[in-house]
Amino acid sequence: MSFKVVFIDDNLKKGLKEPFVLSIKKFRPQIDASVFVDPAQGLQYVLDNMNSRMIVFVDYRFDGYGLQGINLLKQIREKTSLLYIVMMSANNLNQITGIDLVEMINQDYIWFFDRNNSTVQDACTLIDKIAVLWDSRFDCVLEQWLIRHQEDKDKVVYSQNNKAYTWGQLLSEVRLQTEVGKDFERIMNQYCIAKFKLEQ
Amino acid sequence: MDAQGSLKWRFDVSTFRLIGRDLITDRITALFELVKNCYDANAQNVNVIFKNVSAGENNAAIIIEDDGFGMSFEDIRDKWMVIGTASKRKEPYTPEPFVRKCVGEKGIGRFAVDKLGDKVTIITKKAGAKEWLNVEIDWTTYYRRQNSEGIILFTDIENQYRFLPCDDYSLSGTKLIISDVREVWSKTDIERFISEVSKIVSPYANLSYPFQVKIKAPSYDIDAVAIRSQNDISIATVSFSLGYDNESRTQDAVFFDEKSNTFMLTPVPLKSFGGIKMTVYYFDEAARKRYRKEFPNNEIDGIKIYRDGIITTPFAESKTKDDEKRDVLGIDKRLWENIFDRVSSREIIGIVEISKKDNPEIIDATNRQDFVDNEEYRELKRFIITQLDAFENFKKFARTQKKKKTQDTLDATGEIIQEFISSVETITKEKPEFKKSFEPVIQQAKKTDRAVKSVIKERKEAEEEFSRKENIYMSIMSLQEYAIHITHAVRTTLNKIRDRVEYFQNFFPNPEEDDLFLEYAREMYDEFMILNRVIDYMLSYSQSNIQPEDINLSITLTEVLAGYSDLLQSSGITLDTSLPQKLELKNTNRQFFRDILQNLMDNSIKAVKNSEIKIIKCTAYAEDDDLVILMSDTGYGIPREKREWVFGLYNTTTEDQGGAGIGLYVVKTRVESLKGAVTVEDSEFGEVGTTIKIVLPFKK
Repeated sequence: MSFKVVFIDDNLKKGLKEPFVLSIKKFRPQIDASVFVDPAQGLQYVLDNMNSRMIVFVDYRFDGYGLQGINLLKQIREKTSLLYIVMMSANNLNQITGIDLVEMINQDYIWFFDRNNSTVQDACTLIDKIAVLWDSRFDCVLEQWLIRHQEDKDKVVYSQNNKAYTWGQLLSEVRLQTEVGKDFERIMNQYCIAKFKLEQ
Repeated sequence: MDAQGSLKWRFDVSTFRLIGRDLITDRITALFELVKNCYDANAQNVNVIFKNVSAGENNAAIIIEDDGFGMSFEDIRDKWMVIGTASKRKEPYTPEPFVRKCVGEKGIGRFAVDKLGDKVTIITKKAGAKEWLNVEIDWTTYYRRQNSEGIILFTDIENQYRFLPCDDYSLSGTKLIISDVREVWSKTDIERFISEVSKIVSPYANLSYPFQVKIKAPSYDIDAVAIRSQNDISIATVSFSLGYDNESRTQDAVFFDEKSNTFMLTPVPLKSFGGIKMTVYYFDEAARKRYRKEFPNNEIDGIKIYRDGIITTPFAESKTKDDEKRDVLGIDKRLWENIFDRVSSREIIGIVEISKKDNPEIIDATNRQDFVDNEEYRELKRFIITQLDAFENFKKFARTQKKKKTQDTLDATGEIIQEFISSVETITKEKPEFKKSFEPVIQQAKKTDRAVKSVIKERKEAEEEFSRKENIYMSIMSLQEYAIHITHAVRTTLNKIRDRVEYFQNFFPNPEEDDLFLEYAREMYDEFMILNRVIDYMLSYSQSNIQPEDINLSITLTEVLAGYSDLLQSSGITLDTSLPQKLELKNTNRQFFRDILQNLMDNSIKAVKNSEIKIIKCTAYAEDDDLVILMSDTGYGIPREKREWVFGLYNTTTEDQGGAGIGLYVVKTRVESLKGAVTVEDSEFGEVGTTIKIVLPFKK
């Protein structure tokens, strides 16, 4: 299944002539790669295509731009927690400011890619790893399903402790890993296993 | 409408819970919301009474009563019982003559009562109405019935109302009695609440129709007035106030003028975030002590932003530990950089006033804990922090003055002793018979004189030693900047080469991609050239000499500038120099000159990086007894209000280009070591760029 990989980095060449991007594209022909040198344009593209399966490689530091990698991360996360973000840097983690580091650690589905010590193959391995998670994570599956079934988002489908929850609310409970969210995820998993067993 | 009956909620409980849970995170915020509703109702006097709220007491209740415009039956039915009513959005301001900006924009404040207690009685009346309306809401009914009758809708619950007689029809207001209070309120909880309420209205926006909140908690003998007045903060050491003018599109910026020992305002073009009013009070140690004594409930707690007179952020923070409070404006983040000079939020109280009309791009974040992170908000933060530089310079100035005063006192003491000795000697000359008696006194005075002179000498030596160490420290710091610059350059270059080599390794040969391989090969060659240049640059820096010597200015300048020729060429920068051939400086410091020029060049190169026209111009000439050096560029310039600020340590306008804010500080300290002065002038290139002027005296 094809998916988008977006690179937002001011040190890359525009288009697909950058060897790093070109190599990934050659090793993983199924990906639809795009490169943005300007962080604002990159962000806009990501926000406009949020309903697609997408991995976003973001440079940590942009020289001469107001927006920095961490701002992009925050702005994307305000809209969705589904996208996988890979933060890239030519600096080591210990050269990243403490505040930014805390910000990054507290986000879900984020990887750090060390541009100095990692190869193109490492980047491909990371992409494969994310692609697997994509199809198996409960909240990802649920969000993708809700994107396809917008009409169901506000339907009440579950109640616990005398409180009713819609699909949309449940997604948020699962993401927040509340007791309700965890219970729901558990029940759904058990149900699917039971159903699978019955169909055998 | 019947004299009594029942009212039903017009929204479902889950919606209610969701909004309550998302927006009202704790009890203090909940109560704070209710006080804000009083403000929106044009109340001038609010009483918040905590009854029996301490541990072990029964019948706990919280009463919030105001003299606002009150509610009619229809208001209760159509607004109170409906979620998120838009009345305040349609009417963003409260009725005349108060015209306050409504605070409870989202119309959810009233649902905060659920956070506080199970039952609420609302007693309310509009002016002119003949009776008080009394509505009783009991949340527990819902839970009770749900348990006994199975699933029922929240909207099915009926809440009883009735009318109460009234003697004075002109009265208006609302009283909320929250009973079955869920949790114990400790003294600290109430004090925290008072502290939050005290910040609700800026003393500068609370003048014509003052808003007053009294808080009583008999259980703890608390009887306090929560809102601050301007007098409350007049004990500050110094302060400044900035305004703006929409007509001339200018915003005041502040700097500290050492000559006049005052804060001076300078108009700068309006910023992207719009005009702001800003008043900041600085408290030195003595003032802080006084403040703590007078306002034990309040802290000196930094800058708050008020929109249309109401606090916006940090939104009623209820953290008791200072360390847990968030530093929304980033004032304290800078402390580690320079603990002695930086102003911390514990030393200032500031009020920044913005308005919906003039600052539409400063948008409240939905969690009410900050603003939406956009370019305008970032610029606002930068502007606020830049203004604090005035206090930082004041602090430095005050310290220097204090040092000078001590020195003067010591000098004066020395002189007095000398005068004393010479007077006594004169007397003994005239009256030799006293000589014997005075001898021990003279001996003692001479001894003291020697001691004072020795102290003066030691002090001077200590200062010289300090200055020498500071110079070494600065040299190391500037080296650190070069190191960062160089490692980043080396890393980026190596990564580019590595990517290309890796491509060759994986995909070479491929006749279809011959052109691409050739292109990569050329790029690798270019990257190697850059690497070479970077290494040369670093080596040239290591060849330094700090001994005083005579230098030919033209040769020194040319040497330094020559080191940049490759970089300038590859970056497309034109260097224009105008240097006198025969200009000798005696007994000066060559390394200092190099430092000055290198840092100025580095700055200009960063500044022109994204400019269309890239010119750096270096001019030097003699004027009277001074040498004048002008370094100009066509970069993005230094805003007028930052002309002083850029010389501060760690202050940079080229952060995005990797500037760490050391360069111009080094320039300033070096120039001052050479007894000269450095300033940012209007750009030689007109509207673009920067001109930095250095004036060095030939005779020191």
